[in-house]
Amino acid sequence: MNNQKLYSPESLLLNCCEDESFVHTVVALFLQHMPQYFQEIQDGVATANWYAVYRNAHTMKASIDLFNIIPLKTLIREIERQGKAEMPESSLPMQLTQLKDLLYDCMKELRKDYGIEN
Amino acid sequence: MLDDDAIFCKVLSHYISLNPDYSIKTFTEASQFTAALSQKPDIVTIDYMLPGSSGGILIQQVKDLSPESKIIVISGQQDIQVAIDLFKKGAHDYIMKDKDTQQRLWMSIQNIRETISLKKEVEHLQQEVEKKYDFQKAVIGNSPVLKQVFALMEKAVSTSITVSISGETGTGKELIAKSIHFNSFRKKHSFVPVNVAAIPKELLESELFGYEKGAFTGAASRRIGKFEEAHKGTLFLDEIGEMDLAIQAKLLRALQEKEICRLGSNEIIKTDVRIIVATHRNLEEEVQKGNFREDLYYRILGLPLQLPPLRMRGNDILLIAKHFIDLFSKENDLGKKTLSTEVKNKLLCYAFPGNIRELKSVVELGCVLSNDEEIGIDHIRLNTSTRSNIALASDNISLDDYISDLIQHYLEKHNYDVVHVARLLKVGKSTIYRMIKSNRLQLRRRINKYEQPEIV
Repeated sequence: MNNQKLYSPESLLLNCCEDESFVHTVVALFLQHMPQYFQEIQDGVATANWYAVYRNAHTMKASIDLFNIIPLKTLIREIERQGKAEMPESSLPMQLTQLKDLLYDCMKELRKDYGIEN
Repeated sequence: MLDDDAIFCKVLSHYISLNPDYSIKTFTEASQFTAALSQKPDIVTIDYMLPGSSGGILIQQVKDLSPESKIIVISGQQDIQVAIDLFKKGAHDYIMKDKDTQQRLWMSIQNIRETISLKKEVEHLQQEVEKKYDFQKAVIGNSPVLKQVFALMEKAVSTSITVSISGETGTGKELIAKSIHFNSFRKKHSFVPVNVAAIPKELLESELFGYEKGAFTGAASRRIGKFEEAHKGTLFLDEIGEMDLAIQAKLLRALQEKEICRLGSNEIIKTDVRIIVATHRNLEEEVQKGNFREDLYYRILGLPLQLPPLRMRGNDILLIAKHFIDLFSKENDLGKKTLSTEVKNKLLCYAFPGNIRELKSVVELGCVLSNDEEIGIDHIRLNTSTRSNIALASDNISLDDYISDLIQHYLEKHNYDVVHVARLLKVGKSTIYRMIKSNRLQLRRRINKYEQPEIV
């Protein structure tokens, strides 16, 4: 079952020192902050603010690693790299769409698994 | 803990807070973090990349506002140059953001904690040492002769002038040297004692100046010498009168030029060392006899401190005896011990050829032998085998005994060198040999300066 999830509950539990209640706190923070970081990446791309793209992708990267969201690991690094280099590639809009879809799917899973309302 | 990534910051702080000894505050904004630096945290962690700031700027702010805080930078930057720059700016550690960040941070904090703990321990011990070598506490007594010594010591501590301490064996020359060091501005640096008489002359040079690998057979690796060890501190050369003439020339150069060369090296090393020397010999006489270089004598003379023998310090004998009795009783859980009036009078009349070292042994033995609080006359063992100590002060002595005691005293003082004593006392050496043969004098084997005395 776990293999079908976008994130790894085992990794998350391990990173939270196997403290179930603390996992809840971290999941709540993820749900609270990740849409905001994503929005700032989107805004950065729209206004060619590449530093904002780089910085927010960089921040999201740590949380994606923490939750071990494998499908997003390479993607977020790609976006970070383009933001840092201030050289967007033609694939960036599609990568943003991918990021958004996978991120929101993952958040849906987390809300369901940990019983957190919208 | 400063990180604008609230999730990562929360996870890290939770992990570190598993140790109940740690109290952690987290910040996601640099302005709140810098405002809190007034609380002088032991450790701060900084995210390298923050909006409106950077790790480099924050390190400087921490150094300005809380200079004692240790700084750990946590970053997703894999650029080695970034890490090098941050270390140069004063970061204590640099940790990458990855799956091992928590454990690395834990270890880093543990290491800093040990360092802080050791630093605090060193500071505490340093304060204890300073207290221990406070003039009035370290050197017990209030006799006029000792007050003169105190006055000169006060002069010695305020400058780096070379101090030459002379005095009989057991008068506390090393204690005085340590007291000068630990009351001077050099007290944070090393006090390095070297007993010149205890080191074979062929080893003394390498001991003082160090050597490079391969400088001589057996020099397997580089070793720094006592001069370098004492850099910014004090080098105490005890029994300098025993130093070989060849080494004297090298010492003179080191003192004059304030630089040394390790054996087997041409590299000149600058040294900033305060020199204190001590000897039981009369160096002026040694110069006249050709045993000591005149130029070195004048170089090391500096501020001369003549330590009085114990027999000239009157009631200090009883004060020092009490100090040793209290110390020994406490260390050995013997309860309170005091000296009887009879013992006090006996100690005050005794000449103490071994000075304070002898007094310590005498009263410690007294503590052991006495079963009661009072140490009586039966518990005190004074060295009366050599009558010279007491006979010279007695008024119940024949002229023959007086002469025997006088010569015996000189023989002991001058390492049983009959020829030398005969010259000093202006008597024929055959007179002395005759007295030895008739058992009026005891002759012990002359003592090699590198070995313990052997009584025959």
